[in-house]
Amino acid sequence: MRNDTEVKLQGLFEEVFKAGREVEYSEYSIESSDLWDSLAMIEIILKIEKTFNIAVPSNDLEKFSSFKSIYMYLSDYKK
Amino acid sequence: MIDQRDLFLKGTYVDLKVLTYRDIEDSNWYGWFNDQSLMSGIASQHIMPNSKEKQIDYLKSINQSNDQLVLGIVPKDLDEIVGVVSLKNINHFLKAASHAQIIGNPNFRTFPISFESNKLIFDHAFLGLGLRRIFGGSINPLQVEFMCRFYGFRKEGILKCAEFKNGEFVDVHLIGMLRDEYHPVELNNKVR
Repeated sequence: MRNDTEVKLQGLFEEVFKAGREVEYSEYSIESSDLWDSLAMIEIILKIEKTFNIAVPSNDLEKFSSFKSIYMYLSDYKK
Repeated sequence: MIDQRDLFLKGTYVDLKVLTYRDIEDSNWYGWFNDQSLMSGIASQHIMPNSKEKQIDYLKSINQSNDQLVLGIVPKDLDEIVGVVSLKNINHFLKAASHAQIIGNPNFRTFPISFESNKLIFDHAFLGLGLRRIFGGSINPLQVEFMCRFYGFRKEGILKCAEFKNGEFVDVHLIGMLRDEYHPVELNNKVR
């Protein structure tokens, strides 16, 4: 069962990468996806800030390299 | 093979090199501009076809010009350019120039390469050429956000329907940055 953060993140990835709901975005990363370029990165950050009502500082950029690392980042942020 | 003597600005992830005839032969430089998908998000491109002869003429023009600096982007450990980054319309009285970047090889449109190639030429603009202002524009709002967030550009306005792209007139988002406003983010080696 997916929690609310994971569902929202999945929806966000669907919007950015437009690969369809059937895609397993949880395995997405900069290394695995050719679509994850610099503009996709800024789009993910902007959508995360809007969706989760947070501000992402620039020194957290290294966390935005995979679905899993972003999920961990958001989970830690809430604590 | 990149001639080390052509490397003009060196970074952690990329170097910027002087463009030469070898770059036309050894890379897909002129072919990028004929690739519709590669140019789909870039204004004023893929309107007329490009050719090797046109690219040679362009190379001659930039080498003879005093108001533009165009450098090839070479990722570390690669032997060809994957894009170009430029300062054009350099005005030494106003101490201003326009900026543009094209990464033609889509495999290298990553954050570190895109970010650092811009940073190297901005550093040179402000610290080497003594410029005070860099400006630019894009039809892609995400590109504008990228430039504002990671370097310190400000949004300066919108040119309504100033470009024709993919069958429709689109807005151009203008940005500018003064030397005092230039605050590039710090990249650590974990950012890919």
